[in-house]
Amino acid sequence: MVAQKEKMITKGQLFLFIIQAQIGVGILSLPSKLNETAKGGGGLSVLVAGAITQFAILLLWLLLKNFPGLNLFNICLKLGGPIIGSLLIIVYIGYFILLGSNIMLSAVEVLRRWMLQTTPRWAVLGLFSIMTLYLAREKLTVLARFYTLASLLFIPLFLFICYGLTQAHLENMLPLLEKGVWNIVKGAKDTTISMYGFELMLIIYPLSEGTDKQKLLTVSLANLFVTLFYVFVVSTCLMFFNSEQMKMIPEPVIYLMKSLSFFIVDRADILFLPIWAITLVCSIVSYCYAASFGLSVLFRRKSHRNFAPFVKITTFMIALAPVTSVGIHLLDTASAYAAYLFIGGLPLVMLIISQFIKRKGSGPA
Amino acid sequence: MTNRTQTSFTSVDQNSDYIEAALFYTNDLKKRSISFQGREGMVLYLESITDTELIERNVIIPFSRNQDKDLPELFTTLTFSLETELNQGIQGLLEGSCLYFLEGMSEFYVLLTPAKYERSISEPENEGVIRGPHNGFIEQMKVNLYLIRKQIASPNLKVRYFTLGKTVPKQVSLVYMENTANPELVKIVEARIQKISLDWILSTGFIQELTEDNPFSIFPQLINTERPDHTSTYLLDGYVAILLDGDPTALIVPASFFSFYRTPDDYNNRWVITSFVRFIRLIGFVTAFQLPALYIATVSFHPNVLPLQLFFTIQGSLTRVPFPPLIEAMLLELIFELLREAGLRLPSRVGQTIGIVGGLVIGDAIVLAGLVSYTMIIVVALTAISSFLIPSNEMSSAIRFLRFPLMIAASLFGYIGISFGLTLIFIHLCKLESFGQPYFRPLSPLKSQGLKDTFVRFPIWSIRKSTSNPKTDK
Repeated sequence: MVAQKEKMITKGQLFLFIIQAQIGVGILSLPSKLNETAKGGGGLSVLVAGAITQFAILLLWLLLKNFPGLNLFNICLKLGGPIIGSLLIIVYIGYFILLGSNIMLSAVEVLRRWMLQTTPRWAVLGLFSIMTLYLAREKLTVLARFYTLASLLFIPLFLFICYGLTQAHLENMLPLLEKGVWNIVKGAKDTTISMYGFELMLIIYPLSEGTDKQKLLTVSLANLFVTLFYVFVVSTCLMFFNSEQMKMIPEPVIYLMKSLSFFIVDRADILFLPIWAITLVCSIVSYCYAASFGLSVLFRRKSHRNFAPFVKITTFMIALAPVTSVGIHLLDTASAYAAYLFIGGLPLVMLIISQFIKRKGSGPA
Repeated sequence: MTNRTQTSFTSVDQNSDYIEAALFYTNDLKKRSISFQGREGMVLYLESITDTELIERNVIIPFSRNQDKDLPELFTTLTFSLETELNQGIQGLLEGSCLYFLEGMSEFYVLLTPAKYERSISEPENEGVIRGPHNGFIEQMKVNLYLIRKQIASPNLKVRYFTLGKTVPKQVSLVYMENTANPELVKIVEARIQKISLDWILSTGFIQELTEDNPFSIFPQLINTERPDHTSTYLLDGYVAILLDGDPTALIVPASFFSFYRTPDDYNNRWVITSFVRFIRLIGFVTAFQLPALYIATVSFHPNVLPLQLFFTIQGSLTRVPFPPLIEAMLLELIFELLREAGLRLPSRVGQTIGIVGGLVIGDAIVLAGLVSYTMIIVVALTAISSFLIPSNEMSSAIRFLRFPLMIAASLFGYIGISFGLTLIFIHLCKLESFGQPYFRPLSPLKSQGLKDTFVRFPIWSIRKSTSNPKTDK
């Protein structure tokens, strides 16, 4: 009982956990993607994406609420029986590994493009792997503790981006609905990719304190925070650069930093990226934790500790595999579509089945 | 030897022979025959650790005066007890008692007459304060307990004795406040202390290493202090202190990372000043282990971070140096560590020489010789000074050690290397626990109440709720 209690994370930690998992590498290039589809309405696209994410969170929450105390993997086993359940677990593990490697790869690519041009990719990947492995092996409470600490880094990141506002021109963003409502909604599709991470609530939900309602509120607040943060970043970039400039810059957020200079720092982007990298580490760790946790459920072991290295090696291999930019893009699209299936499709099916079983089960009883 | 049991004989000679043999006929064992009411008797003691004057006054002289009294009433000493177990008597002898055997009696007396060659209660040299009590622990555990009791005159203060060491037993005491200490914590500490099974324990360092949670970590996981007031403050906060006889250091658990940044002086200063000093200490902490790494990364990876003017200044001093920045930094750091260690071992009269050799000869000559740049000297000197800002010597050593891996990481991956190195360190800190308590509290897990006394120090009425808040009085 004591051990069980020790593993629980508080509401605040759940909040930060979801934030850290959600904010990833996507935001760096998001403004330029949105500029293509939605132009000045990019901020609105993010809001739409936030709303969509909120629906997905509600869906996952409904599923989790039906099985109190169980996480995704337990639910899979319960609904699908030993064989289908195990299969489901395996595909979910595959999904977590895929997303983990995708984030890791994108992160490494950004870092190599901006800071470590001559360092070989395997070296930077290895660095990420060691670091994330060290954390992912630990208990959830330790993860949560570190995320709390890492969340302090949002303050300098936020200030950095705020500084961009001093040279922003609102007219760059106007008119908001230049490309029409349809394109704004289409832009939301690009944004959802940067929103992933909330699905980790499937794993940590039973391990956090509070009633179902409180937890839903916490996760929703986290989503709100991330959405607003993205809106802020995207709008700042859209105001800072005009549409023509934006087309030429793939990562406007970093470019924004680059043009800023403080009194002893001439290029803020070089300070920004190492700090940003720590938030990325948190996202990767979350996925690695989820995957190794799944393995521990699959093999019926108490601790996920010894599975983390395997997950990490697989992640490392997958991230190392694509050599060309086409390959990288392929990985990107694969994880985007996988997410639709694993966050939207499968949970919905499971929810329907569970409702069905429930009705059937409650009938005779 | 101590494992065997032997009840005392009724004959005095047999007893004294046994004890002599057990102590291997050591020369400082003194015997003195004193008869009592016509029966033969004998006093035995080790003259090296007993107070012979005390024996004379309280044990021997009474015999000549009050032959008519009963034995227990006769001794004017202090504490004495009746024993039947000879090995207990031998242990008593070793702890400074004298034994009295009487012919025909199956029991013998153990009379406590220890020699007291104590250091006076003086201020610990490495933990001096400007204001506040100037006393410190000494090598006598009883005196140390006295010092604590003197500070905390409360029935809640509880002391529990343990004996550690199989061949050389030593007394250890566990001190805590019954009302504030977490019973769970006390249980853990107790269990860990009882688990220690060594032949002998000389210093608190042994206990420290045998009870800490993660022996592979470089961070100290127990607070050690020689100050009674420091110890008392922790005890009142619900911490547990471990004292060892023969060691002037108290170990306090559970430690947190930030407890190594507090000094007793913090609570004697104005709170604004203390907060400022703590802020300076924080800067010291950051520079102590990051500055060389940052410098290496900046110079070798990201010179474009610097404004042009500054860049030219640094570049100018670097052009003459034949080594890469990492080697340069390592060289200087190594020299600094050499000087530090040498300064520690040298007698203070020769110590000045080190200052001259280190500061003037090496410091200046190494630049003139073109081996190291001036900026690097500044960086390393700043780092060295910063590392002395950390109040705890153990934490300071840990931080000094951490510089080296960070420097290597910085020379391999630049800022990313530093960022990841720091991440690893912080993950480790989040992972670490001291006696079941998170090491990095109150920052992570976050406790806002605890933060009031971490980076800054809030006024005491705001930290301690039980004391009256001056604002509410109005």
